[in-house]
Amino acid sequence: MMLEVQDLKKYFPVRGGVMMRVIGHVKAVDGVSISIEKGEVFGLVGESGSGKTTLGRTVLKLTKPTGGRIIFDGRDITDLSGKDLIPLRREMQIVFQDPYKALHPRKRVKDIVGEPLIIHEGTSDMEVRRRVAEMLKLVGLNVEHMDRYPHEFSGGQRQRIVIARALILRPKFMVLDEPTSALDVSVQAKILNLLSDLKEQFDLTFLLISHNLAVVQHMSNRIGVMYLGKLMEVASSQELFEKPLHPYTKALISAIPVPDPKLAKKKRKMTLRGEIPSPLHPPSGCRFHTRCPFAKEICEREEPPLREVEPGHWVACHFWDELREVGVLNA
Amino acid sequence: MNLREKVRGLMEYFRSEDFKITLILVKKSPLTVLGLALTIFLVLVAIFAPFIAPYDPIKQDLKNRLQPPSWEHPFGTDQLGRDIFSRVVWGSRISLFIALIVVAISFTVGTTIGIISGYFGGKVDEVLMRITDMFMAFPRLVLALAVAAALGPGLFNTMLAIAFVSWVYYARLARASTLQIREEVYIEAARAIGASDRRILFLHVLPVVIAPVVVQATLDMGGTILTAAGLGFLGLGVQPPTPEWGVMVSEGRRFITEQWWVSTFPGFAILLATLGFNLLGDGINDILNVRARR
Repeated sequence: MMLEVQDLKKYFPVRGGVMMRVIGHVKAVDGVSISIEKGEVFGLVGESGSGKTTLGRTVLKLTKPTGGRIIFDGRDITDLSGKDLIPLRREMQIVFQDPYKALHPRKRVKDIVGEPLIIHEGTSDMEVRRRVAEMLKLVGLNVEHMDRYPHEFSGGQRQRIVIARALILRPKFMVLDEPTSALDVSVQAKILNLLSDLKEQFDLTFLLISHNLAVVQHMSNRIGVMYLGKLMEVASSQELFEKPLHPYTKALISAIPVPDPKLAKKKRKMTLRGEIPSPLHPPSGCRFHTRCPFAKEICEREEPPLREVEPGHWVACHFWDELREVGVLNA
Repeated sequence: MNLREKVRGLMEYFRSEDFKITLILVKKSPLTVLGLALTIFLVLVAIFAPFIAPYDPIKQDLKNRLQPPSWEHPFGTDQLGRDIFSRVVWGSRISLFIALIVVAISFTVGTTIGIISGYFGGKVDEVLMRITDMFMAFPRLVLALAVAAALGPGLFNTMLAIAFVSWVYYARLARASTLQIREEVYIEAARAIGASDRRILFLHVLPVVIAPVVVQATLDMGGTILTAAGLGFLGLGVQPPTPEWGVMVSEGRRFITEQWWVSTFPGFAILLATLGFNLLGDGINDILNVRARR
């Protein structure tokens, strides 16, 4: 097991009033359990505001969890802080969403990509250059790019730099936080292919976060669907797309555009009403009931637990069985 | 990075598009050019003072006291017969020295405290910022006067007194920029690769924060020269017979109606030096803003 997350919670205090007292909490992640096998790609999908990015950062201990446990490669890292975290950074890395913001504007590529080496291995300048050159080649950049600044690169190239920095210490596990959503469509596929290749080559494990189901389907072994800080459904990639059980998953899948107009007509659309509610005041009972077309009275009162209803297929819905046949007719 | 590489980097920069744009922007603003010219002039005068000044700035010549400007004494002589031109020329050294040292001290101290305060936030920030509030509650010159009076007059104490009241402005400015930069993704990225707080502060935050603070420093050079002259004028700064401009203005005060030249020329020197640095600082500020918008 690469990563095991148990009942993870991350609440952000909200301050207000004259005294700036804590008047509430945004429950960005509210009791999520995930386990990711070595070599697996676990996809995490959900709308913006569902807490998937926060989950990714908390797992890496970039923010302190409010509750729950994080077990990385057999070690409980929940309570590590400060200096104790530094050795861990060699093993777990992150690729950020926006490559325009993730690179220091005043640093050369060599210094950006080589910095992890200097921090963790105290590598000499010559050796840094050699290894950065090697890494740049691996991610599809040229050695001559080494002495340039980030603003001289395109979005896709910048994301390659971000990947090179994350990979130079040969980590075991990487969080990919929307790695392509800030890029042009034409480069998205290239970056995804690069990530797949690197995964094979370096035997990596990914937590892939995205709001784009197509991206996640393409890459993941298993997928978790998040809504307002909780997991709604977890299943293998194939199962989730062929037999989605949760109404929310069904809605997400039916929102994927179908290129063939004949098939598109056959497809039953299931559209959601309204926006995702504020995580400051999540709805009672099942969090999804305010937007669920099948919501009954019990959904308002009682929160459905995430249950394993078929081997490896988990869902948090009171009526998953009744709704089995309803929803998408996926071609 | 070794020195040769640094020099090569600098040469590269001078040839780059980036530098050309800077030059164009400088040329477009005549006031910046004026400021730059005044500043360079001041620095050259200070460096070559022994060759420019025709007389010893301290040597008295009581037979020739209070002479009006003439060919022998372009700015006239003072009440002790000293050549005012020579004294003004030598005074540029004192003023520039004070300005450089004071700005260097307050820049270093202020920026360090500012980025620490902004980066760590919370209680550290609270304590440090209340301290700066205390400093800022008093007008700068008044506080410098009090400190100078407590320390006693003299060149070194003057510098200490001014630095003591100046660092807070750098701290405030550095803190404000740090607060913004702290939230940047590239800072989180640095944390994600395992950089220590100290590394992040000095290698990631500082290089970005430093630009607005350098502008403040250039603007502050003029202010510092003025404050030092103010202290000298009030008798709490550099002491006679050192040819300090403020002291010279103060000494000429008694003769201002009859022998106007004694106070006027050092006064002009203060004016030009302050003006030069202020115009230059404003110009740099504008250029950085224009480039930030690109």
